[in-house]
Parts: sequence; structure tokens; C-alpha cells
Amino acid sequence: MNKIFQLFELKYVCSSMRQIIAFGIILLCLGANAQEVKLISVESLDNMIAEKGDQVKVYNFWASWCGPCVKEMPYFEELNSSKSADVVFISLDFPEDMGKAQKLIEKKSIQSDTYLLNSTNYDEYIPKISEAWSGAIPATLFVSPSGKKYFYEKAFEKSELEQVVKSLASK
Amino acid sequence: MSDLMKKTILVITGLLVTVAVLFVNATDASENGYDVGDYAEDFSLKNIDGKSVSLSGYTSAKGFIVVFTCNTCPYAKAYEQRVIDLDKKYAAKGFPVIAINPNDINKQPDDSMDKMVERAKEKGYTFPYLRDDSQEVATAYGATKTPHVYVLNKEAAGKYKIEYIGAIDDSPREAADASEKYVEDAVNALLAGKKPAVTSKRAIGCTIKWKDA
Repeated sequence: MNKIFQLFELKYVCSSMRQIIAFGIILLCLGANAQEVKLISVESLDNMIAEKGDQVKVYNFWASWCGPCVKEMPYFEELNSSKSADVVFISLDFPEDMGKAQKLIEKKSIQSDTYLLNSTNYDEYIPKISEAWSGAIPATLFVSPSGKKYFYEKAFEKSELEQVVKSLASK
Repeated sequence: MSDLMKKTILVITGLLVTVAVLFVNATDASENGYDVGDYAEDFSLKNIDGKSVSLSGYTSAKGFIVVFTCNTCPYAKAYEQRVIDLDKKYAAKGFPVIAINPNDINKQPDDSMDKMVERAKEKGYTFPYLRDDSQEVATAYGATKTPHVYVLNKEAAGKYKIEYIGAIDDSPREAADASEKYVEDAVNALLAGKKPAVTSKRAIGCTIKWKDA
């Protein structure tokens, strides 16, 4: 009898937990202005970069601890929302700092796709993204519609960024 | 037009193109700074004690661990203790650390000389911490980020050959997790009279805050 009671209690706890989770998900959806940061492997990122798009594709490398990166994020987000380019944010935060990256994406209401690169093998992935990259961030890789790559190891001002995208649209 | 004139024009055009190509290449090289195998020029920069420091002032040094770093970059901070430890380990052996802060203080006020003095005192720096106000040294080296390390071997007075460029080790977050200690390996090789097996390794860092042109 006692056992049955315990089971009953367990079931009750489980179902109320489910309710809480469901409620949480609903809340999350209501307030979901921002993207969810997903982990990505070096290989998947490589494949993604190799895919050509109809418009300029922009891969912005950033981290939640990098001031100039955070500053330029809205300029990139605007490119994406105005459909001038396909923007993907790649966080180089440590994989265990996923929460910090997510918090920042929410704070900045980022809608562009956002990933966190699941690798700390810097010397392997940095030259894969671009031979010209010494490893400093912010850094941005542009891929033109014909698949040509243009790499910039620097912070962008808004107008300069728009100009680069414009100039690459026909390349 | 005579044949001779045509030939002359061709030769002159050819020469001009060659000069132009050479010029473009030369600009490229200076933009990118030093490569491994290049010789570094000496510099004179102001230290946190107010005095100027030059490589030539170290008459008994066998080489140098030149570290472009700053007060503010999280990666530079993560490596700070390891830079202190490198100096403690290698200064007495003839490879002192020379730390250089190249960040523009208008963009990053916390990298001012006053703040550098504070930081060095607080952490007990045993090595010079220099301000590269004009950013000429960082430009000459081709430093792009903090931290960015150059291991120099003094072949003779005034001849500083660059033997390693890049990261300190392969674990920015935790010193204890490093499985490869690139700078230590390079210096150990040089102390043993050998060439470093690994001469460059890349790592993430903070872009140097350059002055607006």
C-alpha cells in the first residue's frame, strides 16, 4: 500500500514538473526574440562556409568577452534583418561558457543564426577559416554569391560594413 | 616607329611593371611584419619605471621573449600569470620577458601608463612593461593581437633572429590543461643550441586597438 502511495506521489511530482517545463517553454516562446545558440563542429562550419548562397554570406567571429565584437554585432544583425546579407554569428566563447553567449544574444535581440564553435584546437581551425587570420577577434569572413571568400581581421563601422557587402554582391 | 624605339618602349614598360610588382610586394611585407627567420630591429620604449628600455641594454641576454599584451583583454589576463612564470623561469637563463602594451589609450583608457604601473605592481611583474604609444613596434613586428609572442634569439650584438611567433601554449583558459607549451619548448630548444621544432602556432586573442588613421 505504502509503495503504491509512493508511486502515486512520484507520478504527481513528474506531471507537475512537466507542467512547469511546458509553462517555461511557453514563456520562452513568448519572449523569444533571440536565437538559441547552438554548438557547431569545425567540420560542419567548414561545410556551411563551402555552400554558396543567393546573396552575400557573412560569418562574424565574436565572443561575449570581446568589447569591439559586441559593439559591431547590431550592424551585422541589421544586414540580416534588411535581407542585404545572410549573417551567421560564430561565438568563440569557451564551450562551457555557452550561457554567456546566449545571454548576450538575448540582450542584443539577435535573430541571425548563432553558433558556438565546439573546438579549442585553435591552431587547427583558425587557418581553415582563413590563412590570413592570426586569431584576433573581431574577425569576419564574407562569401560572395559566386563563392569567393574575403576575410577581414578587424572591427567594422556600420557604413564600412554596408559598403563591403554591397561591393561583394556582384562578385 | 622604328624597331629600336618599339623595343626600347617594351623594355621600359617591362621594367616599370617589375618595379611596380616589387614595390607592391615590399609594401605587403612591411604590412605583415616579421616572419620567423627575420631579424628584429631594436626599439626604445618607455617602461613603467619611467626609463627607456632597448634590447641592446641587455648585454648578457641570449635572447628575448617579447610579449605584446595589455591590461584589458580577457585572453591576455588569462595568460598573465604564465607570462610572469616564463620570466621567472627563463630570465636567469638568458631569455627575459619584455612585455609591450600597444593599445591606443583613446580606445582603451585602461591601458594607459598609469594603469599599467598599477597592474604591474599589483601582480608583481618581474619584467619591463613598455608602452608602444606610436604603435610603431607592434606594426614593425606585425603583431595583431594580445597576447602575441615573439621569441628572439640573439645571434650577436644587435642581431635578433625571430625563432617563434604565436601562442604561449594550447590552453588559454587553464594553464594546468596545456599539453603543448610552445614558447617554453622554443626557448628550451634555443638554450640547447637547437632550432625550435614548432615555429608558429595560432591562438585567439583581442585585436590590438589601433589608432584611427
